[in-house]
Amino acid sequence: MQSPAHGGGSEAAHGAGAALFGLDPFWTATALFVASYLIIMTERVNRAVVALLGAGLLIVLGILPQGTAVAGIDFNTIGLLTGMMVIVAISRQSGVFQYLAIKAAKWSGGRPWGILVTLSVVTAVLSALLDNVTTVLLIVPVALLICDELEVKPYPILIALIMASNVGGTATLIGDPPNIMIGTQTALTFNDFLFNLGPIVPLIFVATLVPLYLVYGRYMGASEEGMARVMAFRENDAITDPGLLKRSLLVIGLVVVGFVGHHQLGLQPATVAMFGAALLLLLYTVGLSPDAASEKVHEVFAEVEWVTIFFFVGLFMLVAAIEHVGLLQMLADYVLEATGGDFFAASMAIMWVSAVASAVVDNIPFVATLIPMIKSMLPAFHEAGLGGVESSAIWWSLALGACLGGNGSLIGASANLITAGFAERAGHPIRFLPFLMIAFPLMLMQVAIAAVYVWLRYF
Amino acid sequence: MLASDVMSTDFFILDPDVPVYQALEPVWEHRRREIPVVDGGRFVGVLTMRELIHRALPSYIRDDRHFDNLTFAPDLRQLGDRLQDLGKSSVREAMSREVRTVAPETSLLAVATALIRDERKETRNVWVVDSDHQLVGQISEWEVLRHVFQQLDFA
Repeated sequence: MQSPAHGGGSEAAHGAGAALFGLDPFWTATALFVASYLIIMTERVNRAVVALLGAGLLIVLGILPQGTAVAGIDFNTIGLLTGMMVIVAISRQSGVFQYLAIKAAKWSGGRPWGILVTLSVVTAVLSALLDNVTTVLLIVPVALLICDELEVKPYPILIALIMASNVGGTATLIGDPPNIMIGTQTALTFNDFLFNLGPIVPLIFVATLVPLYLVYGRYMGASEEGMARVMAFRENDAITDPGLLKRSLLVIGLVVVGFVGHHQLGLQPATVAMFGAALLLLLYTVGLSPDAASEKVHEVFAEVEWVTIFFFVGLFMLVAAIEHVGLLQMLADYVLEATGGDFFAASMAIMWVSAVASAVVDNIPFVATLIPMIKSMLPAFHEAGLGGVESSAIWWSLALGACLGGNGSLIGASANLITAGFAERAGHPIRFLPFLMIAFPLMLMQVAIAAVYVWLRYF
Repeated sequence: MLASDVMSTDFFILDPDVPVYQALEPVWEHRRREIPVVDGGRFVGVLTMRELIHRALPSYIRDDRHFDNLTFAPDLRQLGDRLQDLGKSSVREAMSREVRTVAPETSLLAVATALIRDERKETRNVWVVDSDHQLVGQISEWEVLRHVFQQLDFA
């Protein structure tokens, strides 16, 4: 094994700080990194607190220079997440998301299996454009209400919605945190994601519905009165503020155009999202007295999920630390050695390991660690010759593995836990093991489809 | 002015072990929003009309602050079913335990402040309790304003 403390990027670690307490920077950083990740996995302490404490300790101990820590924070990820959260916080007040969910349920004629399919389609499409957690927060309450009106158990529909949110989120750069990180830290554009991941996602979605139909769908039934009650929903009444709806749709439209053209315009997705957020904030408060406008702006910013944002901040600094001391390079070398430098083997390994890991732990820290690692492996693959294969294939493998892996267990993605929380409070708990029995095989099937796709398309 | 000056001593008292529907029968005509529950002389909680409605709503509506407009939805049979279940439960099960209490010698300033704080709390009234946990009075916005207005000269 090479001696990583003497590797390329670690000279600074030998400065004044590292001499403090006489700690070896490499092992201290590794230990703190692993400890932070383990504590995050136990969920006993808030994950943002753990990540910020770990990063703070590394800086105070002199292992991670402050400049390197700040440079490690990917403000494109932060800006994109914050901007989209602001846009959703405002536009959802118009009632548009409830409108869409009810409209979808009525397209099915009120039949339970039909509702499962149409609500899943809406969830998948919204997840592709919004954060998955936001999407389930908007759709699940409406789904539960519809199930109560139908007087059917919501379990199959909720499982389908969990799957739809994770599968739909896979399709775009902005759909899922792993994709946001990959997109903002590589040169891949919104359209690259759409053209490379977009084609396979609908197939995976349909393939997921087949086993769900066999297990649940064919037994789902509802009374005529129940279906009539669903058809009696008046979706137009869900729109509480038509003026706000128009302004929201205008800005969302502009933001989508901005995403599609961000590469040609020379803009980062974060710029597009934050600019859209600022514009919608202006349109939202225009004409109000300065005091009233300030209060509304304050309320909207208070809805941003700051725990998630600061979790990312801490996490990026933690990853910067292990990159700085050479641990990432060492891991990358190990993976290169284990796969014999074969690009196809490395891509497949990354996809399957990401999928299983994402089912067990939060995929955000996992992907945050893998991105710089893969970046440091790419030159070696280029040297070995890719044989005409696009190097982006490895990024698609990571995105597909990490996003779809979230379906594997109840704790695999935040959207799963949020949905389970709603279900529990409504008296229809989704238990860990029964979910695992259906979700883990489904996830393996989804990743298998993704693996065949990557193999056929890129190798 | 003190809590003991403004408080009302005219209130119903419920037994915690009686079913809710039975306990409420003598109360209906008097339009009370909150009724104290006393167990062996000890003040243990308050049955509130607002909380009964709150508990009858499905959790996904009750807990979701973005779900406040439901004009688009048809009626839900569960609402009646759940209210029936609540009516059959005992007062002890349905009452709110988180109540605001003050001592009789508390200042009106402190009472008025307690009344308007925490609008989302289950109970809105302030309850006057002596040093032996005996309930001695009830104060709502109504008691405070009536007493103060009666002493002011508006002529």
